[in-house]
Amino acid sequence: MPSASPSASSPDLQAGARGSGVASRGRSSFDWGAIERRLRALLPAKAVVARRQELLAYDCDGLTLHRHQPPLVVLPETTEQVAAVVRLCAELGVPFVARGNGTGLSGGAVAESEALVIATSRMRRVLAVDLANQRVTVQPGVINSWVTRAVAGDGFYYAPDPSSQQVCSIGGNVAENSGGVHCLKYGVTSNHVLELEVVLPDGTVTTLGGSLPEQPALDLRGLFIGSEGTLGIATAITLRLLRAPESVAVLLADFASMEAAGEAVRAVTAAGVLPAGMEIMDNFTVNAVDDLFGHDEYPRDAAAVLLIELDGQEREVAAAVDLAGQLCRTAGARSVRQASDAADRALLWKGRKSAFAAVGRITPTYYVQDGVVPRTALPRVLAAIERLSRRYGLPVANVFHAGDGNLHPLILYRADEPGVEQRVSELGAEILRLCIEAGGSITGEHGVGSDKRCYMDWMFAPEDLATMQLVRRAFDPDGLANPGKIFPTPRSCGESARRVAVLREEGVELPQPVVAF
Amino acid sequence: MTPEPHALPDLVRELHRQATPWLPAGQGTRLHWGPPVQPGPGQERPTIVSTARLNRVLEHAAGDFTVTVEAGLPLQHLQQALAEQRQWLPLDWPWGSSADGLGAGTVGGLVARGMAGGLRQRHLGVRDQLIGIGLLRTDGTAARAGGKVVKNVAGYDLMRLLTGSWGSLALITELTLRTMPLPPQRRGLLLQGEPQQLEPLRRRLLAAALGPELLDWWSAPLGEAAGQPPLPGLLLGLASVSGEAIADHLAAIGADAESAGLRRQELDPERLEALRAVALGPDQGSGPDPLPPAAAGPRTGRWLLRLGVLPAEAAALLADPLLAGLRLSLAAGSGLGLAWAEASQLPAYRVEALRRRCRALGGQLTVLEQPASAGLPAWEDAPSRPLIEAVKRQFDPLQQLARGRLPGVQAS
Ligand SMILES: Cc1cc2nc3c(=O)[nH]c(=O)nc-3n(C[C@H](O)[C@H](O)[C@H](O)COP(=O)(O)OP(=O)(O)OC[C@H]3O[C@@H](n4cnc5c(N)ncnc54)[C@H](O)[C@@H]3O)c2cc1C
Repeated sequence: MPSASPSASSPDLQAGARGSGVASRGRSSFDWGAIERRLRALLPAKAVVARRQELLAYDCDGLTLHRHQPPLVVLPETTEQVAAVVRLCAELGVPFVARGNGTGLSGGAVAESEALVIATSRMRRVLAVDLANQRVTVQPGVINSWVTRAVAGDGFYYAPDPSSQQVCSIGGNVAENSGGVHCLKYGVTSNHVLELEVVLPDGTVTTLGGSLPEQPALDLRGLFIGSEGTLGIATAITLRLLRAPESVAVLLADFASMEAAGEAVRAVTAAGVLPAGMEIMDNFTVNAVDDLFGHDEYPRDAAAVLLIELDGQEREVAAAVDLAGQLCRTAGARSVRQASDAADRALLWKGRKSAFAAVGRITPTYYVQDGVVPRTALPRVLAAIERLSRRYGLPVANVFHAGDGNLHPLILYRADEPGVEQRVSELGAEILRLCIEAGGSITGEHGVGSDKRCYMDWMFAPEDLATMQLVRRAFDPDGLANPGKIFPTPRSCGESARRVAVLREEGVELPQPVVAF
Repeated sequence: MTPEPHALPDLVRELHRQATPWLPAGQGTRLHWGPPVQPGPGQERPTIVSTARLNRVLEHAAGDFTVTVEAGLPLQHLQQALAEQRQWLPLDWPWGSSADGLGAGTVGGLVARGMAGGLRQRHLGVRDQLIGIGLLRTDGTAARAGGKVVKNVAGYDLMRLLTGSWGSLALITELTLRTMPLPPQRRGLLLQGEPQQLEPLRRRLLAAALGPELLDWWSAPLGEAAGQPPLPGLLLGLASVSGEAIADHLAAIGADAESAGLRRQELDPERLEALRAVALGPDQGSGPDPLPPAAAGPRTGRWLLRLGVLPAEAAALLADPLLAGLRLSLAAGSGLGLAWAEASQLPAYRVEALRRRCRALGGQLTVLEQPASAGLPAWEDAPSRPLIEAVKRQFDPLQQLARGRLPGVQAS
């Protein structure tokens, strides 16, 4: 996505500390050469990245069109090293951006203004495994799926499973409060973190939360989770582990209308069956998958294909499968398939897992939107998205977490088409508008970062945002941690083109040219 | 003070102008818990501002499994309203409620204290159910965070910040919570014996394919209070869509228990509820309970302790002579529980020793109620104390709210 404004920066930042990385080195307010020397004295050899060629790897995250090359990157290995680096930043007034594995989808790990990137990619040790108390403590750079791998042999696993789990870091998960396919039943990252060791923006190290899920202390752990790197850097994370389920079954049903699929989701939930996950693919996606497979895996005229995964004790799962299957048929399912053994389950999941790849064959590029609506509003909102898609002349594929109303519309486009990015932006914004109007949210799991900060005031009143800023001021009075993210500022949003487009559409009269508000 | 909703912002602004210290409250059923609240200079008692008139269910989106309520709504009324749609908020009544939730206090109060009971085993805690919040800051500014959808990461999670804030940061005015369908089938089992005999069963039950909805350790005096033999025990609650799954599991556990020489008693849903009610302590909910005058200090000659240890250490705690005479119910999976005793049964030095013991077992102890003469700090300093104080200064610059009662900061 094109960035809202290429030189966005926090008003907290000292005057002169703006500009975008290397490009502005000439008029830099910091002496990066001197900073580099100080950093080298603090860190082991090869822990400071300063060569242009190597810095390229840090110029964006999963949102590849927001590119800003940072002036310097450090790769600390220990909490003490992180603390020393952050203390130096505090001393010099240099902003810093924490970075996990750079898979974020909202531009969070990108240093838009001149800032030091502190990457956790060398903090990949599992620090402690305590199976008797079902917990594990890891460094922030540990990859999500490694946690489960470390304990699977003993029958445990770590529940939050973002689709990026083979590559995203636990530190990034904590910062984004990441979810996954199974968060319907098991919750998101915040439900699974017991304790955090955090380096605060002044360089002090503290502990948030503790060994037990409730502490006689303000829940700063809960506050930190989802704060997108703006409150400090997590350097050790204690996670709860769950017992791997004894039995898993998958049910696949297809429907002639999205309403019917929505009713099935509602009925299954209301019956007290809590599926581990419920995913829906729309007609566009179904056809894309059939094209990819070269045969009709799903009926091409299906308006919706619903996948339900159930897990637990064997007899319980069997009962749940019967009940859920029946409820799907009552809701109007045309066919229901089910699978219990691993190979058959994988077959039913295959289409869903290939959905992005299938859609990716249609156009070379797509934008993943992330919005949430109340479950009952799903059919209505999806119909409205389809209308928008036609109006903009851009195909939209919907594959989403139906159980919790978290939509991931994929907007398909050809990057070489002139002016298309602008249209994609506007369509993306209008979809978020629909989500808010339906009583939902502008992000369910990908975070606000830089990509969505200009929509925050669609969802929140100025007083709400000001109240959140109180937290920021308590943790980071100088605004050094990931400046400019999450919150709208006049500079980053005043001239945002997509914002203007949408406001105009609504008949809001805007002065020409738009001035900051 | 119990203002009408529309009068609340003006009242709060006026208190701010005067820099008057005050204490946010619901129905005031448990205001005396925790550290005493200091009145302001010239005040005999702290001013109490109650949300009792903010008592409406604003929206129950039954199909979305969410409910939005005003903070002063009694928890009992909320559960009744949800039950009509076969839903519930999967949380225990707070300690001191009667079996049907009378005296449970308000939803806002429950959130402000942030303490969950045994149902945490399956459903997690109060903070995990809360998806949106409305609050009134000390300067009268109304603000919101979160929203009405179960998945949402836009902005800071003020829901968690306010959960367990004990009235120290802002007045909670509105809450949106996730709800659940009532479980189709429920059964229970009480196992009794010595802690070391029970411990293998605890591990088995927690690891079982059919995970417990709740699994609570009981001390011998609690068993006795429930009309059972005076032995430590494990109270198991199971919930499932499948009655057969429950029956199978109970049979298997029963066989294990028998070979371990444990007493066992299967419980139908009513019996299970009756036992759980005993673990809510002496019923305080039967009489009319106006705002207690003693918000500035403990009003009872009783100990009520919130304690926690690492789950694997709970058996050791139960076997400890320090626990003699205490009624204790402690969630086996999380290691968190409550213990209580009459003042005469428990000298303060033993509570201090118990606090050290809990710490040694990886946990902590909070004093919710204590005899007037005991003078123990309700809680101790958290490692993040300076940061907690920084947050407090931002939210409450005049130090008006709940003076002397800031979770994570030991009162001096
Ligand atoms: C193909 C694909 C699929 C995805 N699927 C999902 C999904 O199903 N669910 C989901 O929720 N997300 C998903 N994501 C988004 C992304 O993977 C998650 O947000 C992930 O948590 C980011 O982790 P990361 O290590 O890559 O973090 P980064 O992208 O490096 O950083 C993300 C944010 O975290 C901050 N940060 C990183 N480390 C720390 C730390 N130690 N302390 C403080 N702040 C820190 C950064 O400053 C930044 O703001 C997907 C992404 C891709 C590319």
